Amino acid sequence: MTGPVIWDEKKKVDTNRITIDPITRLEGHGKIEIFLDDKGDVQNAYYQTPEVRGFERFCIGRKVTEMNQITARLCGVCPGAHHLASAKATDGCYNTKPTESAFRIRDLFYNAHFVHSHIAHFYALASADFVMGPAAPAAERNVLGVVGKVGLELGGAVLRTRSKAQRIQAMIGGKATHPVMAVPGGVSIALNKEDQREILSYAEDMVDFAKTTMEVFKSIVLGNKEYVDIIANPDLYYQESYYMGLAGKDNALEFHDGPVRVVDQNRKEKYKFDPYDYLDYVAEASEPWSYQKFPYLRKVGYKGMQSGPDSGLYRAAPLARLNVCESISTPVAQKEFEEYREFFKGLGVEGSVHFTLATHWARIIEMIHAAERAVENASDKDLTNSDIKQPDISPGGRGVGIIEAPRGILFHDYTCDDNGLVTACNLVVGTTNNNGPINVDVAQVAKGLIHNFEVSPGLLNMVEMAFRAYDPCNSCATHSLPGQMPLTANIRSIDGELLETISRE
Amino acid sequence: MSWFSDWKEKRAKKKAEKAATAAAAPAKKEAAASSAPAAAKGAKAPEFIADSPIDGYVPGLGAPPGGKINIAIYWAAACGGCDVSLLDTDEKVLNIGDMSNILMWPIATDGKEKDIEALEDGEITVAMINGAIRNSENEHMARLLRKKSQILVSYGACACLGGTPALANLVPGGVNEIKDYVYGVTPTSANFIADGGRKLEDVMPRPEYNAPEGTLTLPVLYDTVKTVDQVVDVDYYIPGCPPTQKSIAALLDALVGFVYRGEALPPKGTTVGVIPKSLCEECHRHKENRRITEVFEPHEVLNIDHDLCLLDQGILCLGAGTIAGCGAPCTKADQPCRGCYGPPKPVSEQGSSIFTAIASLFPIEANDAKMNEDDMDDIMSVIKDPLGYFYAFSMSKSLIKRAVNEGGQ
Repeated sequence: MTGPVIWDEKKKVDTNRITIDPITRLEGHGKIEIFLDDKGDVQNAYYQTPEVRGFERFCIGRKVTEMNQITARLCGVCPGAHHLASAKATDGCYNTKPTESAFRIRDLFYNAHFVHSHIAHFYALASADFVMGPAAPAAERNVLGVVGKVGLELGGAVLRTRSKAQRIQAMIGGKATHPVMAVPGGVSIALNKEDQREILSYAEDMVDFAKTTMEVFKSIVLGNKEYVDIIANPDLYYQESYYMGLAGKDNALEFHDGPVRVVDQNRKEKYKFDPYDYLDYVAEASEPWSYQKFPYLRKVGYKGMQSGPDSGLYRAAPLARLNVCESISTPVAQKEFEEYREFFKGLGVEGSVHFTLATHWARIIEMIHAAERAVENASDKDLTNSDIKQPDISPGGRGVGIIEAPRGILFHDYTCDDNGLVTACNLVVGTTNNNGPINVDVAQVAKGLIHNFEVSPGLLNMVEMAFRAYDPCNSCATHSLPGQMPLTANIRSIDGELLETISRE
Repeated sequence: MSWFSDWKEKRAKKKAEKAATAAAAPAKKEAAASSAPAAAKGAKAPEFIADSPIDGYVPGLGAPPGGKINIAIYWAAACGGCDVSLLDTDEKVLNIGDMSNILMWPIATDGKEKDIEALEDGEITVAMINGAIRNSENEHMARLLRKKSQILVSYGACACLGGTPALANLVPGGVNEIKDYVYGVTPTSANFIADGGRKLEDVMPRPEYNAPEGTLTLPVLYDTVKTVDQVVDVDYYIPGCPPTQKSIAALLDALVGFVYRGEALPPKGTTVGVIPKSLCEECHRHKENRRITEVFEPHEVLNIDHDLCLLDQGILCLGAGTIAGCGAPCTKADQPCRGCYGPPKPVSEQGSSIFTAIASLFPIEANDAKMNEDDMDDIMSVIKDPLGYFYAFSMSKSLIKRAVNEGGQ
């Protein structure tokens, strides 16, 4: 087969401002504004989020037991993450914890959710940019193009395996999108032996397929020197931030439950704190030009759109989780993790891996781990236990639920009264953690690629690849989309007049 | 691709080895693993799984005899779950590709608003809008798509009823109160303002901001979250949060029949993918119509009877006031219906109709006419947050519509 198209022809523009609106293949609405200076180099770039729904406020007065239903509607692509973070916060409001049996069922559900999300992301989003290439014609740069190039068999395997992950979630949660099973202290329904056999067979297939995905990644991305050069270029997708993630036993990779760990630029532990103390460590800035907030490490302080030891910006999601963890508890993922660390050691990296595009690799290692964990869960002889609810619990108080959403650590913090009605609510959501760092990356990549007023569709897509690495969510949406995925960039004068339109078609 | 054939070989080998070593009882498991779609047809709750079959689906339809139709899919104030529900049809989503040119699908493609503007009126055959209308951009796009489309489908609970975003209508002070809370009161934001000695008005997001390099703009938010048919004329509705595969199949069936066989579409105003009766008719549980003497949360009933009506067990289920069609996946999971499919016709007020239905099960007999108001309050007070619970999905469509401050709107 022919190689990917990485670079395309640049064209001189007669303007100081480039607007990409809307940016594509992400969850939610967004736009990028790039400002050029008199030499045609990038002066600055902004990644803006044009919506806010105000869940924190309208959840006040609601029944705390309904919060896992209401907040799941924050995101229909990762509803499982909100459902379970909310479940944990609600457990706290009831001063309880799920029974062991219920925790096991939630954990199985969640590992299946991770597999579904990560499969969809790699094949829909990432693989289109790597298999076809950042500058490939738009009509080919989508999953159909990918399938055309690597074969229908793989395409079918992608769809079938994601379906199995969705099926496991539906079996446990009633529905995969907007599941209903979580209750304070447990889950609504137990599993039977027949369910268990079916789930185990799906989980085993998920492990096989996750391993295949790693082979695909190695063959397509790591096997291409040009990509490795782009990934490892410190002037492009590179940012020396802090990293945050949950810590399992002995700081192993953890998605579901545990203390929060923060490491610094050298991968030294900066903080390790109990979820209930998060307000001492995390604060959220806001800026007049975006509805999305900018979380940062409170004790380090907010310095705007810059990373480094003096700026509190931290990153979340797969890259962060593999910087935060010291090991992975399942064998295949652990082996791949060691290879990952060795690879970057070979590039001279001793501390944290700061290369943003390495997120794709980290995500596949996590996919393998989630699938292996699902097999462990599904093999557990106690999976079908019936003690799935806590007796004699009552509401009143504060609960903090922190979980790793596929695209970053997720905080739900509620207080409810003795009637079980919510009196205060705070949410710090997955991708929001990365809002500041995405702005830093987008500006840096734009500065690294656009000079002398010269722009091309491929270059603008490479600017978009900076945020795409962070956001697996819309992958679910793009993974089986037929047709074209073109991008149009409108070039405007400073007063907003449309001067020119660049299209990838 | 060599790596894929290699993998397949390895996998086949592994399966063979497995089969050989586990010769005692391999059949059942292999069957389950290798024929997932067939398993999906089994007895257990098949209609809402990702790979469930779509009735009437013809694989590889090819282009329609009259040429491809034009489709646009847009999300307004939505969570993305509706778009995922379309994609959860998996291979079947390719049928949409067989029969149509997708001119717009922002979750996955460029919004191409300019391209839509350049179309002739009516050039789009079918536009599907999911999500509620909560800002200027949502309304603008709904109007634009209406103008350019022959058929407009209101897709999902938010578009049809307001959905979860419409709970914002219960905030009396509207957008300003919401923004003050989100950016000023939540503790992570309050700490940002206090730690830096900042003023809320300086960091509050706004429609227009003069950055050093130029002006940056954001859409204007509305106080009241609306349904799609409150801003434009709608031809068809498909409810659900999100619509289940069963309902989507009904929509796709109608489209396939129309495009390939010239079959008539349902009358304008039809709600597609529903069964014109209450969810109770579709629910697997049997009813005893017991009086409600005590109300329980699902977690408080340690051993829920899986076959008995949840209302009979004191759990507030909204099925009696909700239209059927979803397949009742929530009650199968021992959770009550929350009403995301909306009311059965001709009921227009879902919340009050369910509230009335449930209240009629309370132990207030005809001879209780002398019961005083305090006793009534005692009985009814076991229902917490009735507005938020009974109108969880239908606030925009209700007569209540929104909370106001006294002397307000």
